[in-house]
Amino acid sequence: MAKNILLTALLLLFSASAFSQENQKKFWVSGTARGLFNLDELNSQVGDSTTAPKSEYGHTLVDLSANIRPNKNTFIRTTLRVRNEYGGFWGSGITFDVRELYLKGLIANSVRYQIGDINYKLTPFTFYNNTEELYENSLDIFNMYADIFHYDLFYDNNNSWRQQGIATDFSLSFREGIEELQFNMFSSRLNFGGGATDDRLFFGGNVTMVQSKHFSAGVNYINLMDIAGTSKSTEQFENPVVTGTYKFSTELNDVDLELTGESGVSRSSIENHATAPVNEDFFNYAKLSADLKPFDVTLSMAYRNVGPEFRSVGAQARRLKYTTQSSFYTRYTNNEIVRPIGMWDIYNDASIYNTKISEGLDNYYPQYNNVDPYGLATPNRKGFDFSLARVDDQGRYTVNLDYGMLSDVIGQGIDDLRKYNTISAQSEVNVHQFIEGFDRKVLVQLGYIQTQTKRTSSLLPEANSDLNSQRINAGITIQLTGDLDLMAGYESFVSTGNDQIADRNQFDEIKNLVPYEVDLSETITGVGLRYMFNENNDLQILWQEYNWSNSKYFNLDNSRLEEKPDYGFNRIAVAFKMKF
Amino acid sequence: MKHIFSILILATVLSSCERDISTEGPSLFDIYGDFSVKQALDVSNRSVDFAAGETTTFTAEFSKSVNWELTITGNTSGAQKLITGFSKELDYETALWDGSTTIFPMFKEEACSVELFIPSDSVTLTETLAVKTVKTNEGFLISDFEDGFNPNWEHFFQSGVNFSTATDGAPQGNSFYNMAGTCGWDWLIGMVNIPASAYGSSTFVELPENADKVYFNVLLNLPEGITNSKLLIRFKEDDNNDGVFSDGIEDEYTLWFDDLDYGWQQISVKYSDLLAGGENAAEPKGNGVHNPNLLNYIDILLLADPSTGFSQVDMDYMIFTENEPLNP
Repeated sequence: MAKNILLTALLLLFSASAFSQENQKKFWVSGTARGLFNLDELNSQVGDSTTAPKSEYGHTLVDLSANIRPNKNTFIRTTLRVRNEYGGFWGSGITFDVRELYLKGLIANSVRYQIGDINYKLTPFTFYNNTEELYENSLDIFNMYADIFHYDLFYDNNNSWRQQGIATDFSLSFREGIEELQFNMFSSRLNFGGGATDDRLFFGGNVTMVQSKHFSAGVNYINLMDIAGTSKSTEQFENPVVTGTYKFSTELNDVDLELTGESGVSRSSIENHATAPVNEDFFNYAKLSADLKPFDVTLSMAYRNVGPEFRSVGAQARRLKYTTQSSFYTRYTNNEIVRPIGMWDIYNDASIYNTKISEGLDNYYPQYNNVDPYGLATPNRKGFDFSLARVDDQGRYTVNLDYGMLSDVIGQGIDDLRKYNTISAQSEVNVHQFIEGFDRKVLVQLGYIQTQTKRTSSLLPEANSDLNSQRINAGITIQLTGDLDLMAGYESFVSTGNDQIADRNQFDEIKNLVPYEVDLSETITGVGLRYMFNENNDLQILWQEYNWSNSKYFNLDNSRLEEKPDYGFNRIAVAFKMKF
Repeated sequence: MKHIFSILILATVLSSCERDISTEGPSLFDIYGDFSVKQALDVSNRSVDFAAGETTTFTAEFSKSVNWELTITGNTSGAQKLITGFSKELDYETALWDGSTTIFPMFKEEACSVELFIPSDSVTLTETLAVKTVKTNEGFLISDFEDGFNPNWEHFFQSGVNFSTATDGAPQGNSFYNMAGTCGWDWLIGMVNIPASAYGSSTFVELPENADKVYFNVLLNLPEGITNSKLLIRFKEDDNNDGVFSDGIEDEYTLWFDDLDYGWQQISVKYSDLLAGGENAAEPKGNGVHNPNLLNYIDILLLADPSTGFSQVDMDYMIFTENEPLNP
């Protein structure tokens, strides 16, 4: 019955679309489509006659967006997702979902608004969806799956979080003194009230004064707040954050200089709770950039000091959940032990990602990012980040070099501070542009990142930390014919050492420091073909091989080392993607 | 340029703000130092009225995270509750007692000894408390045998066999049902038939319709030395609502036990996990749907190979619970 209703609705949508084409585009249909098929094989390094080694699965789906413009100041969009699991026939395995619904418009030609689903962000310290570990600088051949679930989970919109609520913005222009005052506001609902849980609202906005093209400054405010009286609960969580931002830019000869920064304070509390602490702290951040135009080089230096009790739920919420169990080949070996999460899952498993903002500092994976797991807003960090970028003016290559030297603001469990060093070198080279007369595009990607956490204590050797992680990747994309590319890539991730990881209670207080150890080695190798029908439509055929080994697997859920045999995966995949 | 300097000065001023804390988290000197008890074992409620929904929390704090074992022992009954953990402190998250039992018998209204043992350092801390009233369990009680054999039940015993209630070592209350005997000519030693009508209706209408939410719970005891016993529990549904179970056309689900551990043990099975057939699973013969609310009869059969002689299984506290297994 539901299927018939949906089919009828789709027919009506299309017929309405055809009719509306005669009526100055009051209605049109857009969307995306994809088909994905995977054949995976688990390779366990110990005898495993229990787990079925091969698994084939996939789906096809269409996101059909109805775009409606009833008048020149109003726009409505609703997107219907029709998904059919591989092997589903005659309605079996087919799901229908309303993927998004919003309306937006303009009031009196001056105030913009959007109601329903909104994508929103403010600053990295107030409301910001930090990119997950391993995504940045990933190779073309490995990021296809991540790109798919970035789209599915609404991550693909410039570090914004998908919310359900209302947003509005407007500006006031002035003839003298200042150019413009910009106002942005939003409000969304994170929890439904009733029972034992209050309604939880997340709201805020900013006011930015643009004095000139050389100077602007603003004030940001966000607050996540439980609304008293909407349930039987007498305890209300609240986390207001107030920050000030500034941006100053000028040109000195051939050098463009820009100074940006943000400073602010936060407060996190649970009202009417007898034992919940009140966390209050502040942060400062400043970044000076210099664009040396004659050399096509941009240099920057940033300083940050984020207090240990700085809490900002909108900026510290993590995309990647900490979990010891994936949804894919959850168990392996004849003893049916839980398969540990690895880089493969981070690249492929959408179920380990968050789509909601919630209070508290979630656990993270120290092996993948122990430096700033909560982005720039990571509490208890201070120090400098340096960056050098060169983009060749003829488009032949880009090079990015980054160096970070951070430390704790205050010690954890001991006065000695951890030091966090990061070295990163990334480059993309269009090889064909170096060879005259060579008419096939050849793109080479090279990347190297090393992070180190180190603490040396002269008083307590057990407090010493030395956690090192290293990621190396290399990829190549070769144009075989006009629209057909050959892609190949290799990535290695190694993490060894130890640290003391904070184990926090429900109030975010550190109740224990657990002795974390790791001896991890992972590799992914891949080869594939990509046919580009056009820039919005491609077909990829991929083969990938993955290997995982960790002789010191530490389970942060129970604070114990566990024995986990090596494992790996082979995959053959076919993926068709299209936007229309 | 003057703006740059102004802002740099502002940033410098802001960054020079001081915080009044020097470290966060527990001291690593404590964590990696020798074990010590920083806060002795304590009990939040020393006379617990479990029947009124009260609980009690055990608290203690150590210098570092350790494995610990908390044992509460009923001084009269010998009942035991075990709580274990790995943490730096015991609190309401890790060491809360709701009156439930780990090792039978269940607790009575009695004084209890509490022992907190840290194996790594062989440290033992002790406390005492009293159970003012015992924990009550929500659910549909079939029988706890405190009032003997329900006269509205039916039974069949082979010649020379007579199941009866007994009192020595009851896991709950003071009585249990002793099913024992010898039959040299048949596998069936004795059978108890529990009709829904004994509870006022042709089916157990008090049970929810959703079989995923209903749990059948019973306490069983296999005495030491008994190796031949087999216990079959049959759940017969009145799928067509005619007031009786009709063999062959209505659903009959079963539980089959032939490898019970020695001693009293709790059996809890989700109703939807019951299988048709006895020793061998078979297709249900009625509507094929688990319908707890249409349950018409429960049969309990004690079986044994007739050539193996005496057999015995004891039973107590048969209860249906909703949403979760019995937490005794």
